[in-house]
Amino acid sequence: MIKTLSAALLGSVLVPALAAAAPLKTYSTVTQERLSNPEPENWLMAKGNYAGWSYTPLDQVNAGNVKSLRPVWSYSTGVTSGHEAPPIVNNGVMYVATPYNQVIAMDAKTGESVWRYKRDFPEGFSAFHYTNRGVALWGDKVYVAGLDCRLVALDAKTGKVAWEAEVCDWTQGAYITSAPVAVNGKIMIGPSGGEFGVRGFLKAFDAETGKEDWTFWAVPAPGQPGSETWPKEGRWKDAWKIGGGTMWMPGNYDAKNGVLYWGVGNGSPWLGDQRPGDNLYVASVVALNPADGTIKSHFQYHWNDSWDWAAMNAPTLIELDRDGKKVPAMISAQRNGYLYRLGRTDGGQISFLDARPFVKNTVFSSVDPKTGRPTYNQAGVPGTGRAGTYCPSVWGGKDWPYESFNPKTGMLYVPFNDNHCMTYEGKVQERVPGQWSAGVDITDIKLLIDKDVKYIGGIQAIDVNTNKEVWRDTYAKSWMWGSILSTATDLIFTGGTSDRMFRAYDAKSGKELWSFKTNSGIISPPISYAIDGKQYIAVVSGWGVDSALVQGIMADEHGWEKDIPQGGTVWVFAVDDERAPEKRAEAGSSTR
Amino acid sequence: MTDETTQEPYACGCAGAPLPRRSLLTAGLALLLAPADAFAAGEPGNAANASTVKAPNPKAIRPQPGDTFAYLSGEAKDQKVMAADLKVGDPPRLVYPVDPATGTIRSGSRVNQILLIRTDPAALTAATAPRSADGLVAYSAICTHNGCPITLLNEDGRSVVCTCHGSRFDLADNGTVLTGPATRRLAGLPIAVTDGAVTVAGAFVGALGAAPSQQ
Repeated sequence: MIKTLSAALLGSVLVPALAAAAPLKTYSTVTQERLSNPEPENWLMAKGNYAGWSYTPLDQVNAGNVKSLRPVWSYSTGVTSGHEAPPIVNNGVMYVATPYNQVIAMDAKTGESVWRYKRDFPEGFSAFHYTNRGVALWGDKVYVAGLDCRLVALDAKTGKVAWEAEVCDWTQGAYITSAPVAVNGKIMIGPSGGEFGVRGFLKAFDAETGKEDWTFWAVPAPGQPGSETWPKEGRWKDAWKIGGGTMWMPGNYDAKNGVLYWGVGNGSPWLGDQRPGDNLYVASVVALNPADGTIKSHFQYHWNDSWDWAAMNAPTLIELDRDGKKVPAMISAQRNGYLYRLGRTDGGQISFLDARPFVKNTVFSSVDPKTGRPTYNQAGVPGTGRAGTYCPSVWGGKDWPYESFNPKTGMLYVPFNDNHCMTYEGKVQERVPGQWSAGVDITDIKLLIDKDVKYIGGIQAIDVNTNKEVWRDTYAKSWMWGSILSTATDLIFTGGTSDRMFRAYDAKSGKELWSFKTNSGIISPPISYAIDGKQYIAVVSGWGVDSALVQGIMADEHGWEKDIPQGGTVWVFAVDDERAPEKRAEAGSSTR
Repeated sequence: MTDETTQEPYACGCAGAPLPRRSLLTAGLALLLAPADAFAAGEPGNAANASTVKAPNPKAIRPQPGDTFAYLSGEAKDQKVMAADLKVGDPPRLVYPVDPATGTIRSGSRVNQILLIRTDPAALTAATAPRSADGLVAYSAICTHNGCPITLLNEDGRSVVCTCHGSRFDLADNGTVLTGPATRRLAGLPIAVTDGAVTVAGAFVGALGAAPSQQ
């Protein structure tokens, strides 16, 4: 009996192991047509669609059966640090990027591994944030950009490197965490590094060859449009060279009209008085032509950024009901704590509609109702040799995690953090390649949170047409670091809390319907896909990076739990198949 | 692994981590057990391809005994570091080792960024005192958390802080981690004072660079 059992075990171990080594036999080529109109069963890009909705039209998991949602498989990445990449799924194959630029290809139905790409790092390597926000798909390749400033194209079937391109220089303090974006045979990517004197940009590369196509500089050089908003002479005349404005999150795309909308990060150094002027296109959204990277228009959320309020979140593309008509628009909960509604034309002209705070902002004394330009309460503006205290802190009213728009409820779901403020006094720091030079050191920064604070993290559901909050959930003992997925069945899924939970809410009422405790905290965007007619919900759990840093501060100063377990695991959930067995059989086998 | 690793002072130029002092037998066993892909990417210069070892790059090799130092940044960039220039209470200075014979600044590898500072000699522990000279101590400047160069002196005057994520290391006691997120101490570098200049007196003691946290 024992012998039989061990032989059976051996067999069961060996067979999947052999299968795991096999590359894909077939692969569904990713075309522009597919990216512009993604099939409901796939999740072909970080936010699910070009509009940035993080929404699934799949309708099998609903409020009635979500209670029976249970894990069907999981997969340990073997990597620590913050896992911020959503699983990307194309007809039964799942690609998960991890910190350290790794990519794991898996059978999305079974969790068997197909291939894995690992990266070697140079001696003495450094990057400020060891994370990755996901892969892009185009043709028969998978694209991952990494901490070492490289954009790498992998064969989708085998994981073999097709080409590599240099995007930036890590020895200068630049690094890439963003998911690339694929449009019209080009792969677009920008680095991080706004604390290291990096001048931000977005680059496009030919998807087949890796040849660099164009560069959009987020800080214009002297003589270019926008350069008039930077100092031309005097002590700070070279500020533009180290001005920040890194474009470190994936942008959105109006596929119908061919216009990219990309967010631009914080100013560098953090103190605005070291770069007098409005500092275009820092803290702005820019509309770009994907063919050549030229700018069509911009909107700057706040001028002369002094708060590390990066505007890296691209606005979500929506339509608003106006006088009985649908008009193209955008909505965005920004790090500065204001919720913006913007207009957009077919030609990519951005206009300001309105703005209101969604968390406490102590800096804006007013916002011009015509232009959206804020005026500042000077006590809230930190300067060089002058302390400033402001809310929200550098982590913002909403950090990078994705908001979700559900076209059926007409609501925007915003992961937010409120009731946190900051104080610092700036100094002039020499810019040494690869060294922190934000003008503020970590020992100069003080995070201010009231002792009896009722909550910090939470979710707000906002009706995009009325701009009013419909419901909110708040977390008394956690910040919110999770992206939100909304579904056609009026559910939302999210993690983001330090208690390691993955939750489902009723999207209309905000009532929590289901939760599951994972291995670690979830800071990766949840997604949904379907195989053989069965819907899956997937998320990667792997706490780290800023969530862990802030948790450490909260532990030291407010007695919160310090050590949230780290290490990445892919979780895939489904509800039990209620269809009759013959119906299930009709749906056929895996499309792989 | 609890045994201290010592970087050999001769030029290897190897990209891999230094081998701890173990018996050959153990090392051989490790080679046998290591997954094949650990060596698949063997480039010229890797220990696995000894037959193709190239001449070491003098800019990228580890600090050599007798090396002087040059400032990495600031007004005195590239100038020789004299012991008298460093005062107790000053923030750490980042420096590169310099070949005194050729004047070559060994800036070709990031792990040659060294943190030099004068501390109170009375505070130095038994592990650190023998590597110091008149209170001067030297450590790898590369934070063992994410690899950021460490530039800040803590208000206690005996520890340094990495400004990226706040890891704090005890300069008076072997570079020990005082607060995370780093979990591994800073490698120390034995130094001396020769004709008024700060010089290298031995190889790094401890592992260099950010500690890996991947599979």
